[in-house]
This record gives sequence, C-alpha cells and structure tokens, in this order.
Amino acid sequence: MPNSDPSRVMSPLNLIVKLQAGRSHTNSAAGHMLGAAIKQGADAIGTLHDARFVQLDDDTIGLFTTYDGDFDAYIYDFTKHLSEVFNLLLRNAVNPPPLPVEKNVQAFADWVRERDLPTQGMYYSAYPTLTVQDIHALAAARV
Amino acid sequence: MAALDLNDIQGIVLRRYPMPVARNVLLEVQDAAAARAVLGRLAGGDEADALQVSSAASPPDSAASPPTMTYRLYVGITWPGLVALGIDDLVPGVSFRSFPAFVAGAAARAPALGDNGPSAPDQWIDSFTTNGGHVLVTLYAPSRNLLEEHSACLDQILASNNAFTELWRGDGEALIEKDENGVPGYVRKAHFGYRDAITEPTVRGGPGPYPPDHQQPCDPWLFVLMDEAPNYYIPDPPELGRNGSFGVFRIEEQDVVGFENYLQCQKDRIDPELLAAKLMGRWRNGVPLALSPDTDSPPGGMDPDKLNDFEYVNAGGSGDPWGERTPIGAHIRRLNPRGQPVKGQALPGGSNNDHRIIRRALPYGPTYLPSEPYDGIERGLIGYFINTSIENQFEFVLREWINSADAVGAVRLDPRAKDVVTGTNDPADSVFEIPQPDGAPPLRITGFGNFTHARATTYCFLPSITALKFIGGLGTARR
Repeated sequence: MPNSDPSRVMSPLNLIVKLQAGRSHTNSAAGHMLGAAIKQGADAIGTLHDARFVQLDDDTIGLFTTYDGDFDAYIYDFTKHLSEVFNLLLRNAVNPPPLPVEKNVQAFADWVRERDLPTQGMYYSAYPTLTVQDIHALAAARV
Repeated sequence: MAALDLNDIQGIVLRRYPMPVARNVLLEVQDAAAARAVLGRLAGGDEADALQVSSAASPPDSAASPPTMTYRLYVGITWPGLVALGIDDLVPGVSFRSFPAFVAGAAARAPALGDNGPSAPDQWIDSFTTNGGHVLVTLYAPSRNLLEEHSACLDQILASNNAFTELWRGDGEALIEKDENGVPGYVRKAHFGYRDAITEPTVRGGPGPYPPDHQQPCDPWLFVLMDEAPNYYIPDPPELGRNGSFGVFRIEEQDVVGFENYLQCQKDRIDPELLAAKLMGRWRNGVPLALSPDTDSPPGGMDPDKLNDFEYVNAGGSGDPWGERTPIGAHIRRLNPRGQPVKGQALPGGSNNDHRIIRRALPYGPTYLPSEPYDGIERGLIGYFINTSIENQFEFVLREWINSADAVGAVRLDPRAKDVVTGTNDPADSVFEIPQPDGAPPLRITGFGNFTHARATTYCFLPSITALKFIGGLGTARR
C-alpha cells in the first residue's frame, strides 16, 4: 500500500470512487442510511481510527479512513462487517470489483490497493505508535 | 441450510476417531492416468478391491462399541497435485479462485505468518520445502500391527501401474503410559505433559458428540465447502469442490527438555506447575484455570464434561476480562478466545467462531521420560488443521493470534508477546505477562525461545467422496 510507513502503526487510505452517471443521489442517501451499519461494523473490526465519505462532485465519492496494521490482515472481518456499506456503494461505481465483496475478498483487497491514492507530502498522527486497541486499553486502564 | 451429507464428506473433517496410530505418506504422481484411477478406486465402494476413504457417516469408535472398521483412510491433494493429476487440463473451468493460499502453497505463505528462524520453510523436511508433494494419504488404525497390515495393502495399491512414488512417510502415535495397575495403554496427552484433545468446535448439523462449551455452534461452511458460505465460492466444478475441505498438514517439533528446564528455571519466581498452567490456560491434567485457578484438583474433582464448559468474558463484560485467572496470552485463550472481545469481533460474550480450526493430530516420538531427558529423540505433533478458508482460519490464527500481541480488544499486552507454547520466540525479547490480582503489576516471564517449531507444512484439498470418484472417472487420457 502506498501509504504505509514502518514509523507508525496506522496508515491512511484515500479512495476515490467514480460513480455511474446519475447514481450519486442514491449514494448520498445510502451514506446517511448506512451510518449505523458503518459504526457497528467498524467497532467490531477494531482497526479503524476514523472513516468518512466526501462527495467530491456529482459523480465522485471519496472515502478517507485510517486503519491499523496490514490492510489484508483483517480483510475477512472487514468485508464481513462492512459488506452492506461497500456492496451498496460499489454497485453504483464505474469498474467495480466483483461483488459481493465478502465473497470476493482478495479481489476486493486488490481493487482497493490499486486505487489507494498516495498522501501528499506527509501524514500527521498525534499518536503514531498507538493502535485503536491500544487507545481503548489506555482509556479502560484500571487506576 | 442444506443438511450435511455425511456420506460424502471425509470423516477426518467432522469426526474425531480415537484411533491411536496413524501413518502419513506423501506421494508424487508418476503416471497421471494411473494415479487418477487409484484415487477413484479408493472411493469406489469396493472394499475387496482397495482400502476405502472413510466418510463422516462412519460411526465413532468407543470402548462400548468396538470399531466397525480396523482402519480409517483419508486423502489430501495439493495444488501441484491437482495439476500433476491433469485435472486442470481435463476438466473445463476448474477454479479455486477463492483459495489463493492453497494455490500458492504453504512454503510461499509461511514467512508472512511468523514461520521464521527454525520454522522457516528452508528448514523443513526436504520433501516439503519444494512444494513437490502431490497427494498425502493418512491411514489411522487401532494398533501398530493393524497399521502395518493395512499400510502394506495401501502401498501396493498406490504403486500399481506406476501411479505414485513415495517421497516421505511419517507416523503419529498416541503416548503410552501405565495405568494405576501398571498396565501400559494409550493416553490422550501431548508431549509437554498436558491432557490433549479437550476442545472441539461444535458444528451446526454435524455428527457430534461434542464436548459442551459456552460457544454458539460453528457454521458448517467453516469446515465443509458449501454453496451457502458467505465468504467463498466453492471450487469449480461443483462435483470437485462441494463437500470438500482444506487441511493444513503440519509437523511441529516440541522441545520437551527445553520446556521442562525453563519451567524449573523460573521456580524462584513462580511454582513450575502454576507457570505451566498459566502458559497453557489449563493445568496439565486438563482442568482449566477459568474454573479452578488455584489447584488442578478442585474439591470433588472435575467431570470431564466440564473441562471445556467455561467462558472468559460474558456478555456485559463480567468474568475474567483482565486475564487474572487465565492470562490473555495463554495458549488456549489465544487459539480460542471464546467470549473475549478481539479485533474483528468486539462484543463481549460473542463466540469468535469465524477463525476457528479443527485439529486432528497425534504425537510422534515416544513418551518423554524425565529420567532420560537428553535422549536425542525428536518429539512433536503431526496431523491436520481443518478449515475451509486457510487464509481466514489457519493463517489468521497463526499470524494474528499466535505470533502477534495486539489481537485482544481492550487489554494491552507487551507488543513483543507471542504465544509461548507454539509461537516463534526469540530469547532476547520474548515475554509472557501473568496478570496479578488487585492491580499489582503483572509478573513478567522472559528469556524463553521456541518450545515448538514447524518441521513441515503443506496445504491440502480434502476432496469429497464424489470428487474422488469424479477424478477416478476422468479416464485414461494422458497429459
């Protein structure tokens, strides 16, 4: 992945998804509906620091997120817990990977890897050595 | 969901047969047509013609009902084996597209899993380093004599018409100990002295019986290739793929002297038997720390049915979330976290079934005698880890749960910590933390190396009975 760097435990993922003409409205609505699914899925996976969709223009959606470790390591859990979100988004995409994502795990991982845009210049993290799990552990630490 | 077709699934996938001796023979295809014919004969249903691959419909053996058969036979085929058999040439549309690890082979995948140093593929037994093996036959029997008898028959069949040549063979045999009357007999133990084969995943719709536990039953598609699986397409064509499985055949050498010496070296800090229990999560007699943290002999003893019937973290978070009874890094808690929240499944009290594997293995090498510690004899475990997604089950467990420190939710282990019993550990930075009660700092055990290392790994497809017949029926076309 172009954004991984051994000096930090997390990596940004910058994904631009081109939508088929006239589908952006569907996706915008879906984005709202799927908020709960994203939260539940990402909580379960436990390697995502944050994630957001950004409407870049009429036919383009950006997905920006930060994840821990090797992108492939938890890819089965990722596609299982976020299948609803990705299948809906990618069904409307131009040149999507084979769907459903949870049944085409490696193809999905390859598709994302090919499209992950490099971060310009530098990537800043206030806590480059802490995983999501570390942060949960510190927050829950017994006094 | 369709019922499991037990007549079509190899018995080793779904049934535990307590036969105490087994022989594994790794073969190379010589004449592809003859080799296909042999595989077909092994599933042809004619016991007079050839030994037959055992299906999961065969009833389990027990002391009460003597074995109906005097052997069990299983067949695994590697990806190079399917190619050497000519399957990809003869069958249009053959595809294992959901199973890239199987196609790549164990040696190619090992470094990313933590199989490094003495476990690295270039250190494996020769026949396994080169991905040269094609077919692995495994023969179980109730006694050594019967094993030799059946093995001789099988050798003849395998060599007929120049079908296969043998690359390697290795036997497993349950350990032998004397009972209270001084009579030697087979016992269910592993070389480190722990009672073995206590846990077995309950499979929904499977034949059982299963040891009681607190977990939800596993979906059968985790172990049997089924159309309804959500995370893979069965191999094509369906008559080849359906009702099959994948077996990771593995030989793990165990350093019994090193393990015992290490326990004794720590005796000024912790009682060696308590340390042995903390490392495993069970006392050596199988009693789990979760149910009996202070003694291996709880008052009144422990019913064998209770040995697997416990939880680490309950729904709502109660239980032993900090590992004060069973350390987070204990072997059995790493390999089956039960209700422990982990990455990928963060709800307390969940079942963590997605990554489960079924182990079918026997010890090799004789019972270790403390009176003769340096006998120079290799000891270990030999057998299969059964799963349908090698990537998401065997490989995930080895990489994330055995050879990593950060799998477990909200409890922070030392980032260098790996499984002590089976992980790849370097004495320079190995660490095992034993949480102490009342917020006291954990006891840190350090300076240990590998007590276990891989001697061989190979990824096998375990075809259904239908698939073996299908392969046998492909005819005599030569490649």
